[in-house]
Amino acid sequence: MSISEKIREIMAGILDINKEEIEDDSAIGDFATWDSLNHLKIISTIEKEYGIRFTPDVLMDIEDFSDIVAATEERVKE
Amino acid sequence: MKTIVEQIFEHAKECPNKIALHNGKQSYSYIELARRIIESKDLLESQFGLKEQDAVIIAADKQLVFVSVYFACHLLGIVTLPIAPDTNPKRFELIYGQLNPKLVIGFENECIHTQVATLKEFETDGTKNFDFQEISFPDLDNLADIIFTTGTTGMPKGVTLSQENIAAAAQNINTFIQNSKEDVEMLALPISHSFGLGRLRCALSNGQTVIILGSFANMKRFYRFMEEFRVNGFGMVPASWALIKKMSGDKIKEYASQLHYVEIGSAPMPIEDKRLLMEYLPDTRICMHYGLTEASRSCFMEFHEDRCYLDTVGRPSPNMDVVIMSEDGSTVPPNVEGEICVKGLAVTKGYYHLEELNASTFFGDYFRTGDWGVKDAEGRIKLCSRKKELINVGGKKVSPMEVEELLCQLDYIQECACIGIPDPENILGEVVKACVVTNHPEKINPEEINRFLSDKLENYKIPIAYEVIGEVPKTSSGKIQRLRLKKES
Repeated sequence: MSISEKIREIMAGILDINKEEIEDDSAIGDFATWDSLNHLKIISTIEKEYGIRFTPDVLMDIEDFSDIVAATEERVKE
Repeated sequence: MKTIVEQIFEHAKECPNKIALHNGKQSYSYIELARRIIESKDLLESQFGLKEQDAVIIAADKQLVFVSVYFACHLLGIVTLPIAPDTNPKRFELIYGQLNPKLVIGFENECIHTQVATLKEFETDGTKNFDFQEISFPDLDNLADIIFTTGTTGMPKGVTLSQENIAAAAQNINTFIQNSKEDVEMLALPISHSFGLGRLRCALSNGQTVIILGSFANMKRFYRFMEEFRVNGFGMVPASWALIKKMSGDKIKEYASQLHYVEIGSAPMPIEDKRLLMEYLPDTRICMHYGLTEASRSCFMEFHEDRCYLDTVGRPSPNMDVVIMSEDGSTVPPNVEGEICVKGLAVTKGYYHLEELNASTFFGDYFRTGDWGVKDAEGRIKLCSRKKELINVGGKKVSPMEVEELLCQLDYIQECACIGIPDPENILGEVVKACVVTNHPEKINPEEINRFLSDKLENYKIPIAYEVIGEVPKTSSGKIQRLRLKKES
């Protein structure tokens, strides 16, 4: 499964929505369930899943789904 | 005192083109907001046949249209029940069953046997002209909102708030924070809770501009909006601060001279966090409140002014009377522990249709908070313990019984008790831990149990830790001693 697909699956589970509802430009806060608590859950689940750690400057730059995928792909490559 | 909706119309008259609400994509000026309120009111009357004193459930979605529908209900004298759009179906059913609303906006649920609508249906064009003189505003005595809070038993309790309650609360808060009309507020809190909705009412009643942000988690947008709209104040819960720190380090310092105020509430904040905030924002009024939905912002403190008293919740808010009472309802002397009781125009008259509970909730005009504390000779109040056993997950309250009831549905769990434990990630304050009694410890698989809970509970209510224990400690009358369990944990 691609990183993008895996993240979509993680997010759909946490946000209690269908995977199909998540678009590339779906932004934090666009779904009622995508609040701070669930955003943190998404971040820590991804960190655990891939054994990576996001630094504050990377987290700061995340605005939507595609940003999360890009940030994860970059860390996984390192 | 005037109702909040009337104050909004006054601003529409005095400064029609001033921006009232902006979410980055769409904005309403004060006059547009007033027109949309009138248009939504017309729709509520003509299309849905609503009239004064009817009740409406609305999904408190952070869209601009929510604001116009909410105040349209107030203008018409309708009782509104703003609830979180992600409310679980069971909780929705419990709330719906207590109320018999004439209209439900923004929810689908099998239990609904009345008219339904979407918020989208109220997306009017904001062009209708009206004559200010012809508008009749609701009475201060009218019931404005019923806000459902988490009861210890898991049964939601409806806190009734009159137009006077919400107007008085807004006035008290604006007085303490020292807000001016020129302030630009960023609203990143959920508006389905009394803190976020309260901030919205404070800012609009004061003629300020409100910038709506989906969530604090959108840090990039948070700072972009800060720049773009010259935001100079916002409200947050301690978990938001933990998040801002985690995600943006000390970047907030760059806005120290721009930020005039920050309001904090809903959960206790670690003292180190208070100190750090003071260091980062040395000239900002950092105001932290203690309050409940029932008695909005009962006490306030400002970190810099009260720097030697950061372990207290401050002093009674303007126009609020806070006393410490003993079990028999008499006021205790300074520095003696007792129940924190609050009186004032912002305090609820009681819970919706719970007469028995209401009788025991007040000592005369004083609302009993259920929290224990002491008041010193200078009037500063220190919180000792919360009588209620609610778990506070990042400001959102969780009833242990609601979770326990579901866990006990699993045949291999004989008994259980849920408690709050410190969040290992250090963000949320507390998270839920389940202590279970089982004859089959091998079957306790947190992942599997949480999958079972996931469609029955909101995410933040799901336990993050499980422990198998020999027995659940109880009082002689059989009541679970969760606080004891918490101490031993």
